[in-house]
Amino acid sequence: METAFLDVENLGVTYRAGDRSVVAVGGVDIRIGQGESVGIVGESGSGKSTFARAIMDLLPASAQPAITGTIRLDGKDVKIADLHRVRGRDFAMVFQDPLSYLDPLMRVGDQIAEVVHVHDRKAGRDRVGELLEMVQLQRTHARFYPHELSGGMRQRVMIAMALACKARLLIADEPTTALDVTTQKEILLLIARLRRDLGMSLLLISHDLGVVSEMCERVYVMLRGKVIESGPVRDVFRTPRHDYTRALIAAGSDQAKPLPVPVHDNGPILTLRGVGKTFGSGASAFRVLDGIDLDLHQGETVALVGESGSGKSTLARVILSLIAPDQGDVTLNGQVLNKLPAAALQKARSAMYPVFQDSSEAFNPRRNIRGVLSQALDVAGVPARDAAMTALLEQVQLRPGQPYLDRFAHELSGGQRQRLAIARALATGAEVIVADEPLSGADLSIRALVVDLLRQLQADRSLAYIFITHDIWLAHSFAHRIAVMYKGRIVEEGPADAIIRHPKHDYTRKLVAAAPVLKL
Amino acid sequence: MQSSIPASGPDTRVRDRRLVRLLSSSVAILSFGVILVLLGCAVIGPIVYSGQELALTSASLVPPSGQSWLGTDELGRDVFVQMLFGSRTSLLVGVAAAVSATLVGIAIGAIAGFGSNRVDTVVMRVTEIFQVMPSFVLAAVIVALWGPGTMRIILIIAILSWPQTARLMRGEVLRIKSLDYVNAARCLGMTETQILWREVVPNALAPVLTVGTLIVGQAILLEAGLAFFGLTSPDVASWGKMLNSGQRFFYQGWWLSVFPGLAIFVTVLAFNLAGDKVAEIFNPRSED
Amino acid sequence: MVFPMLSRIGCALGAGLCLTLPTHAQDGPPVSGGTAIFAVGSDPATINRNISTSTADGLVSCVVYEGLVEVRAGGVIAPLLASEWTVSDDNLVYEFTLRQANWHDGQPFTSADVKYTLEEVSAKFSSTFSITAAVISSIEAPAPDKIVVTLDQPYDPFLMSLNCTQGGAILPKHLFEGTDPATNPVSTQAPVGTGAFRFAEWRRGEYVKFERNPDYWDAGKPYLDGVIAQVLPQSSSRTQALMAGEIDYVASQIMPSSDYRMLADNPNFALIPSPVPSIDVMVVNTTRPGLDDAKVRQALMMATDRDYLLATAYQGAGAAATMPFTNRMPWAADADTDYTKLYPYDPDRAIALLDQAGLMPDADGTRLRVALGYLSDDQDGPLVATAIKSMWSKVGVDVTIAPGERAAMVPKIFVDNDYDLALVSYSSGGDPALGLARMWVSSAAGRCCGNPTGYSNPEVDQLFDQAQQAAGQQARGAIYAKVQHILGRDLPTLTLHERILSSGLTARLKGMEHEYYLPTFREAWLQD
Repeated sequence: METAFLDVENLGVTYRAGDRSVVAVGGVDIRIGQGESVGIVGESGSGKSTFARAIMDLLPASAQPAITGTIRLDGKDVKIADLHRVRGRDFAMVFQDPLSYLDPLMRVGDQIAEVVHVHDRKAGRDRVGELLEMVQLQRTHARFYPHELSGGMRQRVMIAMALACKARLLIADEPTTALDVTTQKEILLLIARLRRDLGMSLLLISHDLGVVSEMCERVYVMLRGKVIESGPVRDVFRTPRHDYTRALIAAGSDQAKPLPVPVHDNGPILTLRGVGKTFGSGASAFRVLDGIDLDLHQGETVALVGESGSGKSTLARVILSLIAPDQGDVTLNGQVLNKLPAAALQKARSAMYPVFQDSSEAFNPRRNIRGVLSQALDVAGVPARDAAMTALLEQVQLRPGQPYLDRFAHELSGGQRQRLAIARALATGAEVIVADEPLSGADLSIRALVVDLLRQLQADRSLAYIFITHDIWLAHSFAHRIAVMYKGRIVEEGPADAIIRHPKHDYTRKLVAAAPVLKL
Repeated sequence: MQSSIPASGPDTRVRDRRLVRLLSSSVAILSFGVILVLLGCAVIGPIVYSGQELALTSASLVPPSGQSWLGTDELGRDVFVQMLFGSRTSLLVGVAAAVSATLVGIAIGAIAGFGSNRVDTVVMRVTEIFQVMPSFVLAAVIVALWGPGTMRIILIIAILSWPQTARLMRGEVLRIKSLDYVNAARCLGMTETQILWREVVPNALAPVLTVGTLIVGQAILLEAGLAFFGLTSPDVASWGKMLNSGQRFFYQGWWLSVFPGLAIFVTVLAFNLAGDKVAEIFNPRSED
Repeated sequence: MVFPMLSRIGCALGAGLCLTLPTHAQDGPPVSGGTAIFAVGSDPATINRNISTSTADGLVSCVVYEGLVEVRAGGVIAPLLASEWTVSDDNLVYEFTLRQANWHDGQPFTSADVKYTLEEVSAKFSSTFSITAAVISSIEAPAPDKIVVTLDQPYDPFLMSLNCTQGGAILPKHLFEGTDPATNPVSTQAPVGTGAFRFAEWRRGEYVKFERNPDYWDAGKPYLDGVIAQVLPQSSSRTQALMAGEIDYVASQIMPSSDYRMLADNPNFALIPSPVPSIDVMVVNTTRPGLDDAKVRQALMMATDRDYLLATAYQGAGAAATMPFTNRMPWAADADTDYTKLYPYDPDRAIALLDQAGLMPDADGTRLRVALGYLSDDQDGPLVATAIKSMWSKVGVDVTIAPGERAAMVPKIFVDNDYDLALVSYSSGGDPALGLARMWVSSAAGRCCGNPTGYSNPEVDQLFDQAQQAAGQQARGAIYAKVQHILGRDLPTLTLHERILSSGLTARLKGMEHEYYLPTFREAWLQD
């Protein structure tokens, strides 16, 4: 590693906020060899994205970032102030959300051509076609606008633009986090192949240890702005030295000990029979849900898995009676919810409560936590005393609970907020919790925490969960049963272990094969 | 594992602290201070100078001097005294019109945004009709029907100003009603009306209040415009009226239009800056 | 001149801001050549004064067309298309001898043109000439250069009305006969007259261009090669254009009075007072309680500082009123009727008069509550009303200012008489019979824009009738003096201010001082 392609020493990033300064990255050393593939893992806020943006000189000027440290490229010093010269020439970057980086009013071909032109004035229009083919798109896709492409295709366009730079280092910041597992697999394969063919170096930033273990040779683990551990992927993941790394690995691997499917004495608490829903009408009608049958028993977790667009979230909203089904019945505790009058529905549905994906939007920003919980306790008819609320908070591991009561949800971290959401669900006395991707976008450590909490509460209170996720390994470890959704139908349903180990439906097989997993 | 996310320390006074911080910024002190001074002038000035509203001095168009601080107008009236009397009308019209327009706009915008598509379409078409209605034609019709008067001017300006608030409110409500916490409230068994007024509307207010303070300025200027066309009561002094009548004598007496113009400018600016601060206070997320 | 004039223009005489008129003695003999540019407030609709009283139309019409006579400054009536005339002893038969002149298209001008114009166009389409037409019994054309007009009754203003301004411009019969004058292209596109200038080009919305008439009957005139009417809709831009040297003349009707001072102070410019008198009057509804008492009206007059109004509200332009009519018609004045002596500004005496009238102060110190109206397009209205509100508050009269739109206000005052007090102005064609009498005679009550006061005095009615029929200024002046004596005591109207309209022009434009209401430029010339 004497002639590292990129050698970053003691890189620090400090933001100024008023009189205070916040250290986002505090002295990080990272080396990337020519053609090497390096990963940075860590949870959000660990500084991994800030690091990447710092060396791309892409930090927002409004935050007044101060960058310090030494950067050597091919052994030659690059001044911090000159980083923007390197950007786009030696480094190219692919982001999590390509849509916000593409001009919505410009055909993608033109956008690629623009980049091509910057780097090679003589290059012909044909170069755009070549690039598109390199990222496995059709030449005709050049005529499309970004919004006409799928998320995976947009990411391919971004990669094509990176290739147009003829960059030697591709920095990929959570490039597949927003994509379905099957698409994720394709994009990762594409990046791996291009890297091999073109001899590019790769800096992959991800919270997903499975992805990093598949893609990278070496890995850096970051926590609170510092690298706490680094080395070859195999060594780090097999013999982690740091507790935090161990926790990450524990949360990210397929560690499922198959849960026994509970024996049910009573009938199901929630039943769906032939539920169907169509959006739109006439020619534009779109069948979102089609003949859904599902049972949920007390103390049981049923995971709904499938790609985005498969109808999972719509099904959750139908179950919660936020939208009415066109066909079929949703029965909760023996009451057919979709046939109840509004007043009765308001009462009946309180046996059920949602936990949403994005906890930042799940709370009225004007209510403090006391307000949030007392509103929920009202539903259960429990007097909203501080003691009751504090107990709830401590049940979800927000302790001591008392100081939280006067704070606002948006003042909490993502993990704290998600636990608050669970506390609210508990406060309503709900027996069924409908959790729609409650952990997506959350870091591994938070996931583990929340999953543990949900398990604990289920054991204590015999709660039933509808658990919607695109993470098939999470479903495996958490749910008793899995229902696989595809194009509005449940294509396969059964005990979790059986579904994962012996998938019957083609789609399930594909889903399982594509899902990255940390292999130890 | 729970220990990996440290809970922030007890803090029961976040809001109070934020309020203190917002109010202690120099912009806030300046803008709220100016508004207080203006209100003070409007309340006390006419009492101090009671009866001098009509007083004619012997000299017209006298430049500002120790005798008359802001000079005298074309009829020999003291401009400073006139401005004190005028501040009552201008501030009353500005604030009252802005408050009524904002209240109406909030109600209508909320209904449009939260109601069904059909309600939305109907309400927004009506809003558009009001928006494209030529202001002065409407004003002239109302004055022709009922005659001029401060209350009617406030009404006219409110009628002309609510659509912008309503449109903004509607947009905010549309955005907020799709947020998960609204669904969360629905799952708690709250009725739609409760959800609208308790969960949605309070969170949509911040930008609407900012626009409300802009309406104060617009209203003061609109009152001036109506005064220009003789649509306001000529017995009541206002800055707008002074500005307009002063323009005619700009070459002979710049002070006739400059001082009322300055007063309007300062008032509008103070309300706008104060409005931004109010919006920050109303936005619980304006942490830092 | 039948309608109240509301454009407020005047010259600064009363306020000591006086003007020196350019005189020929200093200027030397007229020089030929050059083009004068004058302002019009809007694009003319027609170039025919006889069918339109619009100012813009008038300003361009009298450049091309001429009447039988010309009214010169001071009200002197001089020959124009008629070279001379005789009047019968009974003041009923007027016999005119016409000049040898040609129309701009080369056709000869004859008595047939005169008969046709006065009978078929002026009498029927001119709102001003139609008053004269009502007393005309017959018009005969015994020879191509002779015309004889016979009246039903003596009518002294008759000669004055045979003027372009009054709608008496002579039109070419051969181009108008058998057509609708309102739509005839000679009216709407390309006028053909006998004037010093002939029509050259009309660019709509921009300008109308006239060129020297080489065949003009008054040999040697005009001096200018041409004149251009430039459309300048914004009143302030007219003064600016004048001061920038872009135009040479802004007629009194459209010259903003607030800019008089600016021109008067600058030696490169001049102001010429218009000979047409106009007065600002507060009309009083004498049927209202309180206002029905002449003592109260006299008290109000004494509570009104008219010199202060002149100096402030009227910006020193014009003069304070001293009689019901106007000082500009001295021959009709009454020696005893002088408001400065009868009703000097004296709040104490005003209070005494109100006491006599039984109007005692109430708890607020208010003796009388009245509404004072004005037309909202009247620039000076708000100032005058506000000042009067101030002045009268000292004598316990509380004024509510109540302006209104012209369309609503005029019928309210003149037809319905639903008002207390109102500020209006009356313009006279240079004779009390033309435009002033209507303010006081009973027969003019109930219609726009006559007598709105409810005042009806048979003696006044009779005297105005006599004055109209009497012959000679002296005889008529004596009768008018009697009327003014009565009106000055009864005060159905409070005449507050005499305004004097002024034209603004560059100092190098000469020969304009004899122009009457609408300019002809026939004697104008440009100094190098």
